[in-house]
Amino acid sequence: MPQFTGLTIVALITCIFMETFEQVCFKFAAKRPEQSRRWYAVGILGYIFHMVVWFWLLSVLPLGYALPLMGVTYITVALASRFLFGETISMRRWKGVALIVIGFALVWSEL
Amino acid sequence: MSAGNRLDRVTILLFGLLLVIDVSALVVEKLASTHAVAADAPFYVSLIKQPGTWIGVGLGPVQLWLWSKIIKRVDLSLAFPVSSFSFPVTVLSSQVLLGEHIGWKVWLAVAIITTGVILIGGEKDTERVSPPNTGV
Repeated sequence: MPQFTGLTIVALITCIFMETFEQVCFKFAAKRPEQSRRWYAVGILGYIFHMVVWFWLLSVLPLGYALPLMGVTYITVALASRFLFGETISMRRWKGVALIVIGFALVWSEL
Repeated sequence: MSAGNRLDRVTILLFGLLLVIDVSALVVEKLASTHAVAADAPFYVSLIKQPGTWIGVGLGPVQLWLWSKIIKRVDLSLAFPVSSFSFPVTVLSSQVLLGEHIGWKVWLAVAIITTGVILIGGEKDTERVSPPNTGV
């Protein structure tokens, strides 16, 4: 059984949040060319921090568990896209979100 | 302008290359973390001495470059679902190459998550600025 503590949960949430944050920064960079350098710089800093935490997470979780759990970022990016950029989430995407939640819960139940 | 949805040989080759690099990066990152924990030094001190750490980090820009080439050739609505196959391939690699025990529930979860990613990503207006699931 993988080692799963409170710190592991914090690291997992941090990785999910940081990956979402990077996507949002790169999207801002694409949408606002006049500020693109700043957004890319912030995104890259986020990526570095993300990698620091990700390596630690891999030291306590098997890769075969960590990666499926990170699938949640597809949901957080979709939600960020909706609330920050006004993108729509179609019924098809909501079904995808539901499936990822089910998959996440299944992996979680194995920890 | 739409890039199109025709999978020619070059695009398939690019997809294959991206898949191999995605999975390789994750495997070497896992190996670097495992070795860093086992070393007789603080985790991060040991981690920066692991070649796998730098290989994994260095592959990030290569993945981004390949992804940008792919989405110039095909629509995201095609590129996104195809790239989601790195989920099952990575989990299979973690079992075969790293000897991890992956229970049937996790395999089922991987199948469900991959389907979910295909549903989320496989639409015309999908926008994601870096490769999905590189993670990392």
